[in-house]
Amino acid sequence: MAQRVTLKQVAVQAGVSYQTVSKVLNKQAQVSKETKERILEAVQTLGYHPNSIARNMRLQQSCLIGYSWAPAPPDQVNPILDQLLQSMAQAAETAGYHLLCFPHHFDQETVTAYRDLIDTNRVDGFVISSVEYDDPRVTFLQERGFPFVAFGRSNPELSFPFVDIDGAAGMQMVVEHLVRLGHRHIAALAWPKDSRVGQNRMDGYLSGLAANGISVSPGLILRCEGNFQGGLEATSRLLELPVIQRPTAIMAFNDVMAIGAIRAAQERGLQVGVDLAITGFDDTPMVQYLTPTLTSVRQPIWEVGQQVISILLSILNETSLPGAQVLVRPELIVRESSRGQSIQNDKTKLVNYP
Amino acid sequence: MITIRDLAEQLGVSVATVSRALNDQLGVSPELRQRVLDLAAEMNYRPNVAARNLSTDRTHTVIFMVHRRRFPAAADPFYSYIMHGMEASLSLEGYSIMLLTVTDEQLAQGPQSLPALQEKRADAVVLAGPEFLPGFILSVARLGLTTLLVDNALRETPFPAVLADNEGGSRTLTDHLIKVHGHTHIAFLQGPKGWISCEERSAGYQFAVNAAGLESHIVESEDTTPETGQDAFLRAIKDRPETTAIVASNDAMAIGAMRAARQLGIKMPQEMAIVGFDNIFWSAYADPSLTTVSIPTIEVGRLAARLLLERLYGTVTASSRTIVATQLVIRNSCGCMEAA
Repeated sequence: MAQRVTLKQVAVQAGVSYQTVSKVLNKQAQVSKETKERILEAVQTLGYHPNSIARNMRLQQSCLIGYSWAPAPPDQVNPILDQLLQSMAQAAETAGYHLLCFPHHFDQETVTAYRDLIDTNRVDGFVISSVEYDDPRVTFLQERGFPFVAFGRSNPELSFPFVDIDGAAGMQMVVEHLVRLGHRHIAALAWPKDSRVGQNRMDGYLSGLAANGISVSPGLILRCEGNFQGGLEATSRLLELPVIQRPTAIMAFNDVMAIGAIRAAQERGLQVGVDLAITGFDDTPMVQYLTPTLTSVRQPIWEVGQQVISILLSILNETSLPGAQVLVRPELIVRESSRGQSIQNDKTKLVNYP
Repeated sequence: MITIRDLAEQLGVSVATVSRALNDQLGVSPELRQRVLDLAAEMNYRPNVAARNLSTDRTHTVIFMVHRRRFPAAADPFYSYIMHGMEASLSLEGYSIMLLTVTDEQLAQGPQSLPALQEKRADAVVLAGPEFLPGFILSVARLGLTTLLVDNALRETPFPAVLADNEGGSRTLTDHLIKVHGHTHIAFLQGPKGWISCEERSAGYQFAVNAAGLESHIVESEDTTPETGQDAFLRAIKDRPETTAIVASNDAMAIGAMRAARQLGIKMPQEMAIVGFDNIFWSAYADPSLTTVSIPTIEVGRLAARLLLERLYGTVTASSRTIVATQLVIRNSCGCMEAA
């Protein structure tokens, strides 16, 4: 971070609020002679320069945190980022901050918006999400020494404050669940290789198999887009495999793919949850109202949002936890699609499954 | 960071002169104006927004205010999309959006419980959603902020608002059930009274039903979630067992209704047609896929941004309601056999 003497440091030295220092230096307020002297002494001691006084008076804390994200494309859905926004907005507001939202670009423009907000002094810090490998925002913000916290991880060699869901642990929980139900031929509907989140989940699937002495069958790992069609087509291919190779369980990397998988299975007359187990990831709110209800992995996004803001605020208040990197454990929610029970058609049982 | 003061020192002129030149104001000779602009470019000067705010009184910020329940886990990102539509248009004019989520308590206390409004941190505020009641809306407007409503409106007072054509969409949807699929006993699952969008959707349903000489049957709920949809559906068929079609206030309720129907072994759409509103993501993946009405949320956002900017720059002063056209999305749950 820059070594410039800040107004805040003068305030701390003088034992007053930074607003008081600002007003006194700007001759906008009357304070006691003692207080004024303490402030001027602090200015001297810390080597606060006239130019920086002028600059810092204008550099009033904006109490704004910059955040940008993009809505999912029409054929996908992103409940995670919606929930994250809500959690962060509330955590920020509780601390007297607000989120400043600006458009997200996936291309070369990515860094420009961040640069503009820093140079025009609009925000005190950033939260970044949808973090990928070689994410230009991470290197840019580190070079500028500007405060930020990420939801997500990037290249292992980059070190920055983040909070992330332990996706690998989540997938491993699913494998354990399926193995306990007796499954050994477990397929994975995975994402394209350049997805960092996808790689985390793949690691979990592979570790889960290894922990249970199941060797990896490349033919049971299909990569496709994280949408309904991707899940449907991949599952169709899996269900056309010779019986010996065919999976009895399919783990999708997100719920939307799992819904596509369920449709493919149903179109073949299979009863999902009985003939074939299918699981998803995200625990998207609506999936508990579809048929069958979907076994999935719930990401404690609310907690993530609270932690992200908490870490950023402590960086801004210079009480930062050194190298705060938090990995949050998700939760497996078991429902009809993997439970091995037949789907009830009983008129007296209008039970809300969890 | 280069400041106006630095530029002024370099040129040997006052800060005020530099500021006028940079902000295209009167009172600077053309030659000096150009020297200021050239030097600013050369030194890569960027306006310090906080400082600029002090002189031009513009914050270049718009507050987007929603009720906390509006980003809840169960709903779809309706307001997120509207915010995104606004972001794109506003950022072209150098505006950013400050998000503000509010609670029932804060709304009850009024704008004084919201420092961001009091401290004039924004030039304008968008109140998105039906939870903002007339008293609150008018007291925000009295603070002197350019105010716009989205998915809400005042009934008696002319006030700028952007709304979807809820009534038209609902009327078209109900007409479709009557004229194409011959339903004569259609129930409407209504959300809370006092929510403009729910009332207008109900009105559209009633209009279509009355025009066809049929009886209306409205079932009320306290919310518009899958749970309330499930519950309202059961009440609807209990009160009128001859019901063969359901128009829900939104897709969330429709999906809940479908689940209840499925658990009772009711075949859809043959024995029960269920339709929704909003065209949320999951409507396409329900079974049968859900016939619904779509609202162009990004367009609503863009339009809201444009209306705000017009008011901020003073080019438009009329206070009026702007209604955005909706579109019928035919899938299988009404009885139509085409692929979704």
